[in-house]
Amino acid sequence: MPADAAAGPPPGPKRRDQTSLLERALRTVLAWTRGDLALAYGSTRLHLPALVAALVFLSGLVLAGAATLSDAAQRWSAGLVGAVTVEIPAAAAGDPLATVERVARVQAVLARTPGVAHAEALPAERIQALLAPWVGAADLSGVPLPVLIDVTVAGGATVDLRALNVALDEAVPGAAADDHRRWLVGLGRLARLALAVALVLVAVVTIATAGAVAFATRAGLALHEQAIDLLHLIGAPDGYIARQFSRRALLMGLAGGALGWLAATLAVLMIAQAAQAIDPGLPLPGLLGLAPMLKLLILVPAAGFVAMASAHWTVRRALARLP
Amino acid sequence: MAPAAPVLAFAPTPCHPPPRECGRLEVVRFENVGLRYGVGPEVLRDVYLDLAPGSFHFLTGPSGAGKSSLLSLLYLSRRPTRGRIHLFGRDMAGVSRGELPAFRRRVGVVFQDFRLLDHLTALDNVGLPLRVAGVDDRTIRTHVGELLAWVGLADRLEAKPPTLSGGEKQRVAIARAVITRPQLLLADEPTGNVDDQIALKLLTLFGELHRMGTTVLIATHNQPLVERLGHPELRLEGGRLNLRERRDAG
Ligand SMILES: Nc1ncnc2c1ncn2[C@@H]1O[C@H](COP(=O)(O)OP(=O)(O)OP(=O)(O)O)[C@@H](O)[C@H]1O
Ligand SMILES: [Mg+2]
Repeated sequence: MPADAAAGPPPGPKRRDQTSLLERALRTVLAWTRGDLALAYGSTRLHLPALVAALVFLSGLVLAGAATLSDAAQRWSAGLVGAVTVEIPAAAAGDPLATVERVARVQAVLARTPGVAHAEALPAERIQALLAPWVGAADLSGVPLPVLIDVTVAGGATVDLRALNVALDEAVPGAAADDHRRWLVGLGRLARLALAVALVLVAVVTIATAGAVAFATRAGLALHEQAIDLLHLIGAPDGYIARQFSRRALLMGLAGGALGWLAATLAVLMIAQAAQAIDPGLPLPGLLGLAPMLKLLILVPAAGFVAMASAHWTVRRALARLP
Repeated sequence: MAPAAPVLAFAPTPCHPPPRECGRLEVVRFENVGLRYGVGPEVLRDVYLDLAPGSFHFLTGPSGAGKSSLLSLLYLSRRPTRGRIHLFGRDMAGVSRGELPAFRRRVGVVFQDFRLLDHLTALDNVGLPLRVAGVDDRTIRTHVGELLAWVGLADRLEAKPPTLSGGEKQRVAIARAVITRPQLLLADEPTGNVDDQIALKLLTLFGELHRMGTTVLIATHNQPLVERLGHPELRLEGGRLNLRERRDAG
């Protein structure tokens, strides 16, 4: 050390000026993003985002599936609620009642039934189209077909299905009305179940993410034990030390989350495209697509937050053991 | 004086008899302090110690006497197993864990083994206490630059500790200890691995801070140096502390 080095009083910082709220807020934001001490996670810095990506990919797929299912169920039921279908069996050969007559009788019963707003027979072509998957393109012009009548129930009204069925059977033996209730109930239950399973899986994935981050953070703490001891001794508050790790965890969580979301989106788009290739009219895969995946973008900040919170909590808990 | 304005007022402890001591505030006060590690014997026993503001003491004693242990109580690395420690007028027994960092920032420590962070530059190592206290980067850079120049390391700002010599590391460690202008400066064998000439220069540095009002306590084996500087000597023996004034020398 040069002899003159120690001449004069040592320089030192003056008392910090009064800082404005804005400046302090800015500094806080900066402290979150600045690479402060490079207390990295060591070898875990690559496998942690990969793990988070895998977990987000998994939850993304399951959530997209469940959302699509419940969305489809909702659309179907929206089309079915307030609708009653009356089926008139086809006239057997030699049946005295011609088809036209049967339809007229049923229409008359429906007209008398309270709550019915409108009733319309499905055109023969629609019925043929509905049967097409079973009979193919065969010419059905000579074959007697059943008749379906779409009944619209007046808004807010209900139709007494039992009374209606009795009246229908009297008018045309074999004619019956169906309000699709059983189908609707089953559909709703299925959708709710799928959603519940998806949510349980997301909860499990959240715990797994938090656990993996906590594990990696503990490894990082052990790796930097001496540096952390020193920081503690020179008066670093626990929050400052925890930030060194939680900020990294946040970035790793965000990176992993983004990667996982991207993979899930690609997978969903591929499935949707494959389904469209089979039949462009398929209602279920039609709902799969970019729009629901955009909603699932929330998984990215969520993964970041879970990673950050887990790291923060892990460090604070470890530091609490120091005096 | 401290960069991050200390939260603590320098308020005197409630003053009970003896009234002679009222109005006078020790930076450090030990009352009947004892320390043991685990179930071992007491390393420190019945230690009474008063360090007045602006005083300069040496802490001596044979190896294993408990010098480092005593210092660790002062930089709040551990709590005593019995007795009371007052720092800056506050009874540390009544200070919550959350308040301790603010106290630690008022104490500068030169560790026997330096404890520099190898992956940070000299500049960042010295600036660490300021950074931890929330001082902004630009202020840190200016002050650390000036201080490192003052200890003769102006051209080693970007060097990392593994590339520094023993004496250079020591100066970085000292710079880090004083960068916050601590009210209490502790040094554990700061002249341990340098020759006498450098040791004397390092001590000149401490003397400079002392002249500016810093309370200084230096643990050392270097008896000739102690004799030469003539500051009072606190001697640890058998876990007990005895004061030796040395008014003749200097
Ligand atoms: N962390 C610890 N756990 C258990 N015993 C310890 C610990 N640190 C120190 N000791 C014991 O306490 C006693 C005092 O140690 P200390 O390091 O304070 O002595 P010292 O005066 O600094 O010695 P030296 O001059 O060699 O540095 C020694 O007997 C030591 O073995
Ligand atoms: Mg020692």
